[in-house]
Amino acid sequence: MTTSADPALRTVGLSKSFGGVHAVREVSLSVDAGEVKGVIGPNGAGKTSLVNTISGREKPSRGSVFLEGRDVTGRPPHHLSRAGLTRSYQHSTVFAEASVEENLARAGAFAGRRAVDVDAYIELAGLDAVWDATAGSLPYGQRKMLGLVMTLRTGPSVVLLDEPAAGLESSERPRIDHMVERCAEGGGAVLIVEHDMDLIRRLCPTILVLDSGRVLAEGETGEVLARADVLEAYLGSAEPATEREGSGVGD
Amino acid sequence: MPSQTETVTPVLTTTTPPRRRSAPRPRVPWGELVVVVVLVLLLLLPLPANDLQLVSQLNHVVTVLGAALSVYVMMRLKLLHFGVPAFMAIGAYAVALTGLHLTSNLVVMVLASLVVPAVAAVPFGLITMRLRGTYFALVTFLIGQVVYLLIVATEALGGTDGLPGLPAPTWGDVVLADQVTTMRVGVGVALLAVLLVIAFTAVSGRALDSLRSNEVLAGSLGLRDRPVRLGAFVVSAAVAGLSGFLVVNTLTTAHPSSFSVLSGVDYVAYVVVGGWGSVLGPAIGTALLVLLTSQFASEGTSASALLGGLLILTSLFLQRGLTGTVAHLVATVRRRRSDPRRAGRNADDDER
Repeated sequence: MTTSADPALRTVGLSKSFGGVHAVREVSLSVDAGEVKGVIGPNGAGKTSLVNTISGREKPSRGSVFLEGRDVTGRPPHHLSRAGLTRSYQHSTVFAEASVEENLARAGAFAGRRAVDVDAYIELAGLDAVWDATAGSLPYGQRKMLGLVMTLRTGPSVVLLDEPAAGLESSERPRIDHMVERCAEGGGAVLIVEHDMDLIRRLCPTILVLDSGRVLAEGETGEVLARADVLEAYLGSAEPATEREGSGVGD
Repeated sequence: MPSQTETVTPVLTTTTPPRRRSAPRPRVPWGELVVVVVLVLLLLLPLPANDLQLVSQLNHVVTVLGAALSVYVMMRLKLLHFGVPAFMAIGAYAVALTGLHLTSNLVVMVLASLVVPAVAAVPFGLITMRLRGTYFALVTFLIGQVVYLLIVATEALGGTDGLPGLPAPTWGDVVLADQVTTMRVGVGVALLAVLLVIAFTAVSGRALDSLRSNEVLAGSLGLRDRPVRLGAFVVSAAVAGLSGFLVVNTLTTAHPSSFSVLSGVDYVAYVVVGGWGSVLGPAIGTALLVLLTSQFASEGTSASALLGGLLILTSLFLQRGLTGTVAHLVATVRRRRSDPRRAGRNADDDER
């Protein structure tokens, strides 16, 4: 039964195995409406597998996923999207042969009644200037922005962003910040998987650290990043991340 | 999240000045219009009744157009359907049994050839729905083989002898038997197939194109792919069934050899050569290859080699098919005129 106290997204003991490989192990997390939470971890920690399992791309081996209190474990992506949980992809994901306009029209059409107006995000992402261009012809950064705006077009209450800043020019990254902030201000719950620790520090008051599929640490971002076990998992040394600005954890 | 009525003020200036967005321009379906107009003209204009070769070739084109459209519908999903002869056979035998045992009324025969394959396609569609690429092609090929063998093994369907002596269809008291009238019936039925496919692609075109382009993204955005895939398979079977009706109406016999699995390769070739951006592609591919086959027939055994060579050349140099290549060139020229810097980058997949 759904109550107002239910977090927007909650997982309980979520696990995903591929044969003998345990990609995600007993991960429990929650993200409230309006909260932005980061998920970090070294390569192979299970971050993308976690997003895939929550978003229905992979069926969990064990555990549960709750969306605003409703058990949506193992539901397919289209069902979750229509229920309010949408994700973006690590690699730029658009309908390459269609125009920017048509890409956004498709996102609206497939979202059905949940679709929302995204004019502000379109301008924010700089897509106005390439409105009629074929999505596949856009530079990587703009394609990625388009994918993100399409995700927001579906009117999600929970957004999973898989490395939204990966491959973007440094000048493009502030756009991600503003989009995520606006999304959270509007009541959206945002879970960001990201290697860019500057972005994580700017956007995520709390983070969760994955290592070998397990939750290694969770809590306030600054405190977690200063923990010796987190540094050990990331860098193989216990040197505080604050002393490695510019080449800190995950950079 | 912002609601539909909520206005969010942007806080970041874009590096490129925002350009005023143009209002969505409705796409004129030229390809569809051309095919419909040509078929309507063939239906209405007088034809030279004494030029039997022309009438025969036109009849052949419209007879197999439904089969090519059947392939085209699945090609919109990037799926190669080699099982088209199976659904042509189901439609053909449904018509044969109707004509021999119930009525030769044209409307009833057409409905039988449309509905029976469509219903039969449902279980096959459910089986093939999860398949992609090579596996879909292989399984549909096997469906063709299984249906062919079932027909041959079923005594009620005449086995290897088929069902001969079908009555000509009737329209009221008029018997539609002579060669020109048979061709006109073919044009009418082909027009029905074209309109059915146009209606389906008009309703589901956006979903079809999205599933072909990026089905993972489409699902993440909320698109349920299974109804679209099943719908496409059923419509594909229905238009194949109409083609099956025209085959038996021309031959006055429902015979298994008319629906051999290998003929499915021809129907795929019609679409590959013509293109699959609109129904114009299969129509042009069908007309071209049927007429060329007729011309090459005088070359005897080398006819197949000549056709094969044409297919190889198409695959090497016209990978979008004839209509797709022309549309691509037109779009490239237009873009080059409007913005020379973007022309090269934007010119991909413009056949629509």
